[in-house]
Amino acid sequence: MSRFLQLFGYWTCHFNILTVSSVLLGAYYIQFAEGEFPCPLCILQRMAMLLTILGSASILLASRQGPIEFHSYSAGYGMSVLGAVIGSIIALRQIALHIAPGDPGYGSPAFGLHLYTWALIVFGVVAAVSGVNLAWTKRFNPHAVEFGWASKCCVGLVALLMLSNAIIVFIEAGFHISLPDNPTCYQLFVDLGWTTAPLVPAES
Amino acid sequence: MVSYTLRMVDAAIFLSMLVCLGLFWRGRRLAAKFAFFIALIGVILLFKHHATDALNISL
Repeated sequence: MSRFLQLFGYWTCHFNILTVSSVLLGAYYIQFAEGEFPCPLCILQRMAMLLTILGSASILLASRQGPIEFHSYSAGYGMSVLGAVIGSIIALRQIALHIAPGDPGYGSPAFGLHLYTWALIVFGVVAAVSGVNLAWTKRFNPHAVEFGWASKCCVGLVALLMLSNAIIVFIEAGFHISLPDNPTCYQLFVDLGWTTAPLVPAES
Repeated sequence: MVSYTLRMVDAAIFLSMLVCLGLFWRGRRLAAKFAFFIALIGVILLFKHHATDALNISL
């Protein structure tokens, strides 16, 4: 039974990474397939999501150096909680911006909810899962596990998401320091003359 | 109502997360945690900028 709980703790890290990554990939779909530009608060929520899965990734990477120690396991989930707390605050702020009756919200909803509402749910789930793992760290700490292909794929996915987000925000901003709250074009492409800026700004 | 954010800083924060992941890969956990907190503080300052400075309000 104890070995089962330890493996459960280890696979929970993979589950965290895959769940949050799927939400980020969904945001990519809405950005590129539906042509919606992420606002500054959307970008901040993406950052917070990546901070939460950095904690889980640190636990997986700790297994490369031998058995996962108690403090490495608890530190990883502590990092996840920190990311989830700041992410929840940002998501709540965006929900509050569009909470007035009749406000259509920012962007189109997915499965009936706006992305920032989904983000708040994701941060809540991450905080709850991390809390359970921190409360029973002694039972869930996987100790000796192999850094296998599944762990490598998860860490690679996290790295890919970080790099792609860095490129995306750079293309969206170009070499400008500041941008409007509701971006309507990829500023770098406009500056290079590859596209033209739209005349009518998008509705928030 | 127009507010602004520092997008060049956004890209730097994503890159600092990538550095953090690389340091964890190399087993340099203390340096990785330092990079993590730089990214975390960056997110908090950007959010503070968005929530107050850009809207010209004070807390």
